[in-house]
Amino acid sequence: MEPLTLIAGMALLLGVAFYVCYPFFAPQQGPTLSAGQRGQRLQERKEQLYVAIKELEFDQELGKLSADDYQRMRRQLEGEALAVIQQLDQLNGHADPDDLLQQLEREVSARRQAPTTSEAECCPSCRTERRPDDLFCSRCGTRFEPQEN
Amino acid sequence: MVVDIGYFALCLALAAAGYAIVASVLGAQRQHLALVRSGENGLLAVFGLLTMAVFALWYALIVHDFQVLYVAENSNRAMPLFYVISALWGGQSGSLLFWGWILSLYGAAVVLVNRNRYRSLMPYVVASMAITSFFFVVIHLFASDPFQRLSFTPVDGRGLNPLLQHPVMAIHPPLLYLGMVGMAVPFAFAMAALITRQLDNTWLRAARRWMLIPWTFLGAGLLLGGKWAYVELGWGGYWGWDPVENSSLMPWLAGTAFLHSIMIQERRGMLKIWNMVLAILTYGLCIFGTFITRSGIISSVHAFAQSNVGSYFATFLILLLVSSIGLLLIRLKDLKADNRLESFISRETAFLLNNWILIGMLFAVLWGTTFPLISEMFSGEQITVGPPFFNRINVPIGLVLLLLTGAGPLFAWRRTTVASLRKNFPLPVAVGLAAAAAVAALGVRDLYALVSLVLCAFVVATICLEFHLGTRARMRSTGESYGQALYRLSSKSRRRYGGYMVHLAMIMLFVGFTGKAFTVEKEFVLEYGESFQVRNYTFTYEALAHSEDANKTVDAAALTLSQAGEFLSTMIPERHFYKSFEQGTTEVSIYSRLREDIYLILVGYSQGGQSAKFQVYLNPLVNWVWIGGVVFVLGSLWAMWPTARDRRLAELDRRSFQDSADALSASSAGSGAPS
Repeated sequence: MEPLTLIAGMALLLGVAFYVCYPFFAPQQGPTLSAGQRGQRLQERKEQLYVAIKELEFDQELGKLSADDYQRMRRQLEGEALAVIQQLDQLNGHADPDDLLQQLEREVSARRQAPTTSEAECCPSCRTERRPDDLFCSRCGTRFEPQEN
Repeated sequence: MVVDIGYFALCLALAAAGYAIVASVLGAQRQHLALVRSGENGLLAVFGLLTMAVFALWYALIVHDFQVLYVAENSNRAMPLFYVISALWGGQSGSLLFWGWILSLYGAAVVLVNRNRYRSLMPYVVASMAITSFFFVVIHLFASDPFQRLSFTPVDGRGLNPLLQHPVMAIHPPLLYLGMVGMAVPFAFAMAALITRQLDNTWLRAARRWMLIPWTFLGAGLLLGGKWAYVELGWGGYWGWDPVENSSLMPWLAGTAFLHSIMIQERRGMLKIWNMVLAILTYGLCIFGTFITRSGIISSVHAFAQSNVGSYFATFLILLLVSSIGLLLIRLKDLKADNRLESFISRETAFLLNNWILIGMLFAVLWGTTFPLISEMFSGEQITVGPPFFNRINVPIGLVLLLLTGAGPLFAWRRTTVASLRKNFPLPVAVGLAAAAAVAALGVRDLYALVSLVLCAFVVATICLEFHLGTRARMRSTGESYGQALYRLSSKSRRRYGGYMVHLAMIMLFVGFTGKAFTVEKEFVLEYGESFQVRNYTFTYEALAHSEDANKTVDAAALTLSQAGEFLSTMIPERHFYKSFEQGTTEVSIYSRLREDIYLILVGYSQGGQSAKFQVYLNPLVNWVWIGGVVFVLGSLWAMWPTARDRRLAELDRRSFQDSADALSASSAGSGAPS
């Protein structure tokens, strides 16, 4: 084997070894692998329930559901969503049971009325998508004007 | 030197893949983030190293290093550069290296996209991808070495198989590999979910997009392969139910079933076990298909030469199925459904039927494909089943699927009322009946063709109705114009409306397939200046020309095509003879129109070309297959494009991860401990 090939091979070996071992020396972001998972899963479940409620409303508008079925299914989904929001609020350290139903209505309504990401839904500074009830941008910290529902 | 480095990179890739497996699993079990990150870097290193190996082989091909056996067998000095490059995947060991590289590309993409997401799943996703990479590198090093050297250096190589020297054929394998290999990712997420017992919809969210991408590539690859067969093989068709074709179709069918059934789990918490089975089945079929293609146990026009890699794939397939099914059985009790089927007239039922039909089709294809093996086991003789078997079973199944494609969207989730059905069905049914009358009036008497065209009209009507009703509903609530509402509706619900576009593509494919029932085929011999008539087309033989280059000789016949006395085109079918392969190929001449193709083959000619024999096919509606392919890709892209909701969920993931990191930093600062 040519010396140059040997040197190139050694360099490759060292490079790969360094890259693979680098995380042991660099500061790592994030504590454990499961931290924040429960909250994340509850958020996902909440999103899924909102999507299900939206689709239910859409099917009802298209005449695929009777009024009775729509009301029954919506009550069931809202009940599940309220339970999830309650769990999330407890996890985040604040619970306001009287406000939960209003919060649910607000969030579903916000998702129904938001088509694609529009000007009103983005931070004017960094274009990160914002939620209707956000007061600050989560990325750059820009303060938002309160949105009317 | 470059080739030696390429080989060394393969050796390092083996070590890196092995390390990635161990580090990821240990890191997850000990909750050691640095170890997990190190495992991820190991998988990224596999990608880097295999990229070096691929570039080393490309270098050897381009500089004509014929001492490398693969280069000598699959290229020569006369080949155009484009085909020299595509020779990387033209032979067994090169295509396996290319396969392994694409797998590592997917592995790297999964790691980079999910740096801050699915953290509890990712170590096992990485381990699963690394296990598959490890297997492929073992094959590269021990069973099919792309860098194997000859003891001498030939002056020139043999060249690429002439049939593969076509632009479409150059693109077809990469697309197929991007499809087949990519199925490893949803499988990896499924295994991670089973191992960690995170069996809610988290893994589904990841698996869905990572299934949609390879599914699209695989579908495009299948159609492109059909296009190549149509223009290159010269038998007038585009699908022969060849074992290698079937081995790519089967995972696509399983993937289609998966993409539909996950919607039921997402919305209703049902079919959890079935979705796991589909994720395993889809990937298992990819490995099985590779095994069929490369082992040579079933003869096929597509198959690579027989080699010993078959036993490696068979072993890997068995281990994969045993371990994944075993894991699934252990977790069965955690996969109970959250809900039951509330009504038979519901979208859930339609999707369930859709799954049964797709899997039924899959098993029919599997049975026909493996029948030679089964018959050999019992009778000692391989009995092949051909297109008549597959068509007899799959045509009626396909028509039922077509019916469901139209009916399904008209149902609601959970329960659809009879009043709703009375309201939404009449128009599409009326369109179907009108189509039936029109098709019958045109003289169509073939039952399957008639039913197919009627159902196509029915499905198009339901799709248009869905778009129209949804747009009108949106107009009422937002006050937007029709165009705005249609665009915003489709953009907001990309999965639903992208799915409808893909359904539209399927209709176009079915229309193209139906045209096969009306194909006309004729053979004729002509002298110079003579004419032959097929229906109202006239073919007049004008001349035969001969030419030659370093690679091949070419004989081209020129015929004038006219219709009812009006000149349409000059058609030039050819025959090529590749000198190094001593193999002839047919280059057909095709005059394409939307309603049909005129497909002309030069079968043979006398000395001097005074007379020549031709074969002509009139292929009605065939171009709808290729148009449907384009719409399929566009619809899939629309469906997989991230929506506002996807971006919102991604932001939630990022915030959750950042909040955890901030909390740890804060508590570490408070306690004085290093973070």
